[in-house]
Amino acid sequence: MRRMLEQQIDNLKKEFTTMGLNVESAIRNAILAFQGHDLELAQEVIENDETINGQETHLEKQCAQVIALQQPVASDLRLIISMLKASSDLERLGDHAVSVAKATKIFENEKRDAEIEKIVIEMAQNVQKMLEEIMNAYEVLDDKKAIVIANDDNQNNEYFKQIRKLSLKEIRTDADFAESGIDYLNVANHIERMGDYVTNLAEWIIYATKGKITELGRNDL
Amino acid sequence: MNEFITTRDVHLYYGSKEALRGVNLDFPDKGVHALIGPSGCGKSTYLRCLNRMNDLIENVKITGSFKINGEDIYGPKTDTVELRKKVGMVFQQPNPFPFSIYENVTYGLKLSGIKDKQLLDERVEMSLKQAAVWDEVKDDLNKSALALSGGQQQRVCIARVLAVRPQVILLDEPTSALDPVSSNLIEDMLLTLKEQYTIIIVTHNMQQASRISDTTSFFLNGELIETNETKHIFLNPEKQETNDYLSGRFG
Repeated sequence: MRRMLEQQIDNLKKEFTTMGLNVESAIRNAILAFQGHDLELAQEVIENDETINGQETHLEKQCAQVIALQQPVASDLRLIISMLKASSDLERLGDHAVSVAKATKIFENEKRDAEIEKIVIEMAQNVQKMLEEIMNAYEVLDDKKAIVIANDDNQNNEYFKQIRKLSLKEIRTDADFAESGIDYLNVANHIERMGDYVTNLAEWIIYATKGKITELGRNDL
Repeated sequence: MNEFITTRDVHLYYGSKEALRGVNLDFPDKGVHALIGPSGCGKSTYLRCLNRMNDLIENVKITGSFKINGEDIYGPKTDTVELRKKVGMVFQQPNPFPFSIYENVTYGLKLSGIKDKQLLDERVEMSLKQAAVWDEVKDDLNKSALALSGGQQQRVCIARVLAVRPQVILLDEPTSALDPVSSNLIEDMLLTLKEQYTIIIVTHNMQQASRISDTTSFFLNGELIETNETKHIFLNPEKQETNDYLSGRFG
């Protein structure tokens, strides 16, 4: 009985990790596409999103099945619930990667600004690093590391402020930059949301290990 | 806390073997309270202390304090017959007397000297209704209880306990010998009865404990490891041993 449950939980963890790797790669490619104006790579990110969506649905079904048939309790149940919830956060991360990829296409016909773009890339790389680290922390259920990673989200808020300030400044001095300015802010907004979803993943690690529903990154911890 | 049953520093020895090692456990009035743990952990032994069923076993020594509603269960003035009316017990194997269903249910009442036919009839009907078996036996009250199915016998045994109007009902794995349909009937019944009675149930069926109990206490090797609200125990137990037992890592 126990061995069967352990095996099924292992399978769920493997699926969850594979989905995480796919989302990591979607974000990495979306940034590369944005940075290198690579429309082909952007299109690849957009098309790959269906795979991620399918993985989420499959993982949800598998989690429901293990809960129904094996009736796990305590730490086993919490781990499964956490993966069930975290898989939707991963799926949303993938959606935001698609939005950044779509922005690459929009920028094809717009004015670009090297200074703003540099900060956008830095911000995106920070989120990408956070996601990689949080998936590693999930693997070993390291709740202390999860809190440290979630704190990195503050850096994203700083990046966002800088992007906003520079974009507004450019818009004020150059009316032709208005569309680009808005689109940079839009991209920064998507990346900022990615940071929030990584923070959610950190919260699910804490739920799985401690059984506590927490709100990280809101300066109350 | 306003506890109905309080037990302190309970030790029980079968000869030189210590079966309970200093248990401190309280139960609030009303509700269903589950005792869980692997075989031999002491949960049934503990349960049997609450209506002094262990007194019947030779070579048993019990120390510690047991109080129900402030009254000492093991006090020198305690009459065990009176105690067992207040604290009824239902066992794993249905154990109806080889009498009719009616006589089974009225047995305790007749022992108490109640002879009023109308009162006896009322109690029989009410108890069998509370035990969710009235509709199945109402036309056969004079039939032998032994002729009933196992599930029906167990519910008649519960009716027999209810007839004497106890305050506490102890159940020692009451459904482990029954099929799922009969088990469900008994679980539903316990959920209704818990509004009026303090129910303490020993069960090996973890799902049963999680479905019907308000609090759960986990025993291991004669010790109480953890007691808490059931939702807390099954989702986020504080002790590693509880987590491991519930997850099937041992036991």
